[in-house]
Amino acid sequence: MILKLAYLAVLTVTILITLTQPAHAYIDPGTGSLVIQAAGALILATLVTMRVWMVTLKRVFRRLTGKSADAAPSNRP
Amino acid sequence: MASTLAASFRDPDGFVFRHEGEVYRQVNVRCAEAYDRMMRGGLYDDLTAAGLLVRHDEVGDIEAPAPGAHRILRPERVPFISHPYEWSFGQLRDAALLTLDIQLRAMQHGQTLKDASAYNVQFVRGRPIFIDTLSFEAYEEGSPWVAYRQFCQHFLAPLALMSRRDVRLGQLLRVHLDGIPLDLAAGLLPGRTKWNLGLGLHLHMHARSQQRYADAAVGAPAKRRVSISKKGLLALIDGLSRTVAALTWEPTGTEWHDYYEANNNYDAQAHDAKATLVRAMLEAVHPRTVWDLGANTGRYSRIAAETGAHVVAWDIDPACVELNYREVRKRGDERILPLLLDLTNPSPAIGWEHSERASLVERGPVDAVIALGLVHHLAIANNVPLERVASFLARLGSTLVIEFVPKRDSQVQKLLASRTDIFDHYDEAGFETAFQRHFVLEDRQSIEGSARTLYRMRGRRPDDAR
Repeated sequence: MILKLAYLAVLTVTILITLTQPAHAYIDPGTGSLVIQAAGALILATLVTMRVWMVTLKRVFRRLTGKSADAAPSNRP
Repeated sequence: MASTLAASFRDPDGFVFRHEGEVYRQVNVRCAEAYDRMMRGGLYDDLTAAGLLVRHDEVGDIEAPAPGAHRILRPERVPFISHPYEWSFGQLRDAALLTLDIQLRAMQHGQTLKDASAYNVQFVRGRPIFIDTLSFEAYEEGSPWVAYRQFCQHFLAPLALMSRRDVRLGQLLRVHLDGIPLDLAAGLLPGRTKWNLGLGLHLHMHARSQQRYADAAVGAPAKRRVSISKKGLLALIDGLSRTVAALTWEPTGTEWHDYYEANNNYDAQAHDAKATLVRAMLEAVHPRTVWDLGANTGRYSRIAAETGAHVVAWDIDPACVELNYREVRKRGDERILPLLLDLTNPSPAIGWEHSERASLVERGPVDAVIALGLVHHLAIANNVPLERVASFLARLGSTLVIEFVPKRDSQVQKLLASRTDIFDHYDEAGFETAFQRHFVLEDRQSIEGSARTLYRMRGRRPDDAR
């Protein structure tokens, strides 16, 4: 699911972005490479952010389940 | 008299030259600012302290071979120059991760790598290290990583092909000196890899994007410039790192890696006897440099290293080189370099004017060559006359420690099983006659527990009596 969204994003970005050839490059990065790099940076930065959210979410979830476990009446004598 | 290294001509910021047997690097004025920034801003200290970049001294007493010099550097010596097509999977992967690690650290200091060629990495003390001190330039936030394409071609493409298709595809790096073209790599990879985020993006879509823009008109009117935030670029580098780290290759299924276990020609006693003899023969000559030909997983290379030599452990089997390299990293061996080599088709001199990447022979000769369990592969499996084997080995090193494997040995029996025995002179006498044309026999010992003989020979000099 995430992958499909990512690929949609790449397609959109690829169509939208156009650019000039950079000058004075020691090696030729190539227009096509620059386009993909920009797309890749966007996707991967999004993924990084999502990963951070997931970690935070997990932490919040654990705290919530932890709290409800404490509040539940114990069955032990 | 200084002579510029034939391979060092593309970078206008400087070049490497040789002077009185030592290697130096000239830093040109046009990159003085970038160089000074790297040295004073902390990046050089950070990288050298972590063992990621070669150290250098600035020398004041050498005359600059070309005008426009800002500094002359004498970098730390690299004991042996190897090429990416000689590396095992693990070596190439570690070189890739090193490059990305350096790019991340450079960005922390406001700098960036201007190229990501696999030839910027060499192996010193068993580990990969960056050798191109002039690869750094100022990082302007917003600008893309100009070396991204090169990284994908030099590192990601071959690693993906070796991991997901066939380990032998690493040899494409011998043909494509600037890395494997992405359309070729994308075409050879299994279709499944399109669904992997990293490989799909950095290889498949990258290849298509290159083709799409290849015919774009030159001098097209300027449009919006692509801009990549620092955060985006860091995420890209991190993503590349994860993709590379996720590529694996397990060294099984090739014929050689379990040679010692699978072959009952040798029992433990014979192994120990041979090891003792090899050690004694090497200690008699105390070589500083050794090539172990057909080193397998490096069992005897380690013995040579223990006598104090720097050893290059050559083998034709990628699995053996990989296992040897993993052992080197695990043990922290500082004097062993495992590399891939087919002796019947050794690394040639390639690149511009046949001079950019030195051949096997051009990187020798060494003090001692070890050739154990090898001669029957050359003479019988590959039909090379013994005298030709001798003349070639004589070019590689001054001392030769070589094991003769006779026909009654089970390994040779295997080789002869499916062919006619046309090797009339393949016996101890024929072997000695052939080799004495190029060597002086200094020692001969039978290996207890086997039918094999170990020899120590010295290459003939012009003043030797025939």
